[in-house]
Amino acid sequence: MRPLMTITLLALLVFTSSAALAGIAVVVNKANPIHQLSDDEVKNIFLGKKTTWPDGKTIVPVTQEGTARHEQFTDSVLDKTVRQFTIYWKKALFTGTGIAPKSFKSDAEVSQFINANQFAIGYIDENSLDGSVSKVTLNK
Amino acid sequence: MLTIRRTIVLLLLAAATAILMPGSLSASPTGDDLRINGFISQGYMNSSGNNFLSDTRDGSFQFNEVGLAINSQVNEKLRVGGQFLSRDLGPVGNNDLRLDWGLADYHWHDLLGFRIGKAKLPMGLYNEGRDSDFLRPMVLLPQSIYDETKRDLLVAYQGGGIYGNIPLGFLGNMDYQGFLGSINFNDDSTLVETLQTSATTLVRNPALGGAPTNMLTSFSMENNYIGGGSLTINTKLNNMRLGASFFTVDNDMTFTYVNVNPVPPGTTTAPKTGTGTLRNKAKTVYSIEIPIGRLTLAGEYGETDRKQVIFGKTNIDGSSQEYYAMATFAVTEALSVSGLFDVYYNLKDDKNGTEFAANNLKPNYYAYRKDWGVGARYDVNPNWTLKAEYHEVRGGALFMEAFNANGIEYNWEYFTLKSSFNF
Repeated sequence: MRPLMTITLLALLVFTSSAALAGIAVVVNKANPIHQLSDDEVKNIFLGKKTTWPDGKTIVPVTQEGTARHEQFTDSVLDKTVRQFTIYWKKALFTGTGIAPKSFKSDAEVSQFINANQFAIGYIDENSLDGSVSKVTLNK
Repeated sequence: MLTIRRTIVLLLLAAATAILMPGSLSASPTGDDLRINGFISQGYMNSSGNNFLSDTRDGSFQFNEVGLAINSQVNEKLRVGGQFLSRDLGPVGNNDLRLDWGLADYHWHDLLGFRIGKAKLPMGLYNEGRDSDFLRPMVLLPQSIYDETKRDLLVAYQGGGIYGNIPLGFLGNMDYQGFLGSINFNDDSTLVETLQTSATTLVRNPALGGAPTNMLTSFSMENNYIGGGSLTINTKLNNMRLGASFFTVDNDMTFTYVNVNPVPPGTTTAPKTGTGTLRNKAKTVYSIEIPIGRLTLAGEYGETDRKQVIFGKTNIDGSSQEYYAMATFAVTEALSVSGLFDVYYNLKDDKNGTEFAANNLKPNYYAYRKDWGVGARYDVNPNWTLKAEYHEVRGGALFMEAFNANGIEYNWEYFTLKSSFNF
């Protein structure tokens, strides 16, 4: 019985993903009617597998490479390390299968871009929410 | 030399463009600018016992790639791009500048997109990225599945394809690709040179109506078609990936030969024409990649059912068997170590090569290859990668004769070092 419990616990540890996205807000343009997204939808958006909003408009994801937010976001939402995320998009670039999302250096730049682009989505520190963009609730 | 200069000029142009156009390296997916990326890598390979892909027993620096990729999102649905590649691996490539891929991609829907042009061939976990060293943990891809000597058959197709991503609910999602087109054989192709050598041997075989004094005067190989597809399930189970890929390819050979027996002295007979075919009726590869924390396990199993007929003689008719297991452990985000066990059998029904030895009058171990490898990768920064690895090999399959004219040793080793920079 004990080995079975040990194996079950190990399997849970190994295959349970997604730490909480504490302190990070996924944000969209204020005119975007979307207020909720699932973890999978956000993951697929940033991996280029989901490219349109329900109304058919093209989603414009933006990242914050080189920041602590980026590391937390790739780890907790995408289940990838920063290096794995970088290689994922480099592979797309060098094999002709996709173009990586545009990247910004700060929360302010992300908010400014999303504020100006109705179809954009990004992530910022929750403390940087200033009313210029809308926070999206993430569901499992 | 000229081609190297052209490559350098292209890279300098790319760098100048990047500098003069702020933001060009981080193009918007809305299509308001251009994305230019590149890479350059230099390796060193050394072997004992046998040469491997080059004159490696003396050590070889003829092991490099330079690539320049240009991508542009023309509008929300249409993307165009291409990559120029210059590479050298022993006698192959010689840094000639070639179009690696160049295509137009119309992303009609996440479920269905279309590609036309020259595209990387989707096979297994790593084939599409085989020319970009920094995309994989080890220097060389497992040769059983990603045989470097058959690169022309595997690297890219010219034609059209479809692709998409299908949600699978609790299972995750599935990427698919399908394609139909043709392939080009380069003049320095190891595959073509090996087949040419076979043709030379056969036209000199009296049992087949040839003569020992026959000599090949020309040899060409034309592809009739290549078609196939791939499926990859991206599971929710810790990002585990499961894949299956398939392709079929059909090629014809044509060669001419003359008899140089001097009767009367100084003359040759009129050229005669010989033919041959190389059909990979089905190449199938099944793949699995399991990330478990810092450890990533990858394994692939493949078979290639092929038939090769030259000068009326069937050289090969049956399935090869190919498989490997690779484990990569990320010691830190920058440093990873890998272990590989890689196996190839020329015919899966003749694993120890007994039949091969009887039919070809060669040692049985020419019919298989078993490779144990260990390696390390260190990412100095996101743009610069260093790698080192060592392999112990038993057997001499996979066109080893092309690099070892005096015979192949059963036990041999090789090690390689490589440095890659990308932007």
